[in-house]
Amino acid sequence: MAPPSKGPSGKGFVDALDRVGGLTGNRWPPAPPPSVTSDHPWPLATRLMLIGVSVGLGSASAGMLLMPRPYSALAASGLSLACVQLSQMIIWFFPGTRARTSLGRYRLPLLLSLSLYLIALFGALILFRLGLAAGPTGYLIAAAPAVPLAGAAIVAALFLKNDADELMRRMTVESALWAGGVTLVETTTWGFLETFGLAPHLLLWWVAVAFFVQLSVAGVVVGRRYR
Amino acid sequence: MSTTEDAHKTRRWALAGAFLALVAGVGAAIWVFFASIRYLRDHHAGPAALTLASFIYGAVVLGMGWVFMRTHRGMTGTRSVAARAYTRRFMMAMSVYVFTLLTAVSALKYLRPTGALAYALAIAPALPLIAAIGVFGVYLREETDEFQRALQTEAALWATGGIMAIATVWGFLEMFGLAPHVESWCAFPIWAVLLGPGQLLARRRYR
Repeated sequence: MAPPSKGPSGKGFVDALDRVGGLTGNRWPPAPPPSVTSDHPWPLATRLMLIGVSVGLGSASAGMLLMPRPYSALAASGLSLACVQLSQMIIWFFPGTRARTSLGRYRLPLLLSLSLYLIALFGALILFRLGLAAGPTGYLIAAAPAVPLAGAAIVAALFLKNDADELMRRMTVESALWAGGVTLVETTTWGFLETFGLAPHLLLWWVAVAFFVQLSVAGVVVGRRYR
Repeated sequence: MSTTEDAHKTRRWALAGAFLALVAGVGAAIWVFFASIRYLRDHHAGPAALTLASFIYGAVVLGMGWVFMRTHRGMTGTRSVAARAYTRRFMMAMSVYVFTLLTAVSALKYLRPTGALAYALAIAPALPLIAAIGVFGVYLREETDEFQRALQTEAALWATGGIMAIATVWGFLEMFGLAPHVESWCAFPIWAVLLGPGQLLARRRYR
């Protein structure tokens, strides 16, 4: 169960962040993980109700996506918020699913690259709305969100290669495979509906957004199975 | 350099060559298909001729895929039960797909159904593709050869990452009017193509 004893070598980006430490409290050596059997103090009904509210919010946002423009943009942010909130709530309320703690010193770079991805995504959308994405700069703006995305992939690969224990590796790989499979199923279904004129155009950057939402859900589901 | 290393290197190049040959072959088939469709249209051929041409095209692509999978299996020396089952199931799903797709396209084009029937016909070609995605998942679960499983898993992860990056960039290029629209069903074929480079990438580590 114990991660391989690989302390900071004193070099590299990740270790430099480690020595700053305090931001996430992820120091090396890591604190002992919380007991997986400890349960949340709130009654089960309350927890399930709050999760239900989050699911309702997400469904309402998903429905609102079909409305005209200012509302649909609002709905998109509401939906992504609801998904993040939902996965966080499940992790808080059911401590046994808290598998993320073992991301260790890779958590900050991963969060950083995912935040940069979101910033680049929304930045590109805003620049497009402002009409600043025309011409050759458009190529640069379009490529920008892919850079932190590649960064996240590389951080995840480094984590799997260097620091993940066998269980964590299996859980990460399995949830990524599930999320990828579900995303491909969705794109395929939507694509054919679109080809035959039964569904609206889908801009392809939504594919990656859907993947990340499903990755967080799959992480929770798979984590629960390996509890 | 030892002979084993040499053999490994040769095999990698052979694998890359076979992969490129497949891509080139499918590309050529697509080109010939569109050229012949245009030719048939110009000569006012009926729906039967167009449908027949599509079926021939589908059969040719299927045949190329089958030959590639056989060659690939021969080269990598994978003879596990799971790999055989995977090839068989995948080719079955693809055959059903080609048949369903061509039927659905013809039906939607010439019968012009509406409502639920139209949706059912539009979803129909997606089902065998979804089955093909499932077949890959089942293969990963059934494969008893640890090395092969690790290899295919890593390749799938690289391909997934690649497709996300491509989709993001392309989506924005399209939004900015710098690239044509691509329908989202293209994600799965591109993912499958990316499995090739993904395998080469994963294989490099195990040389």
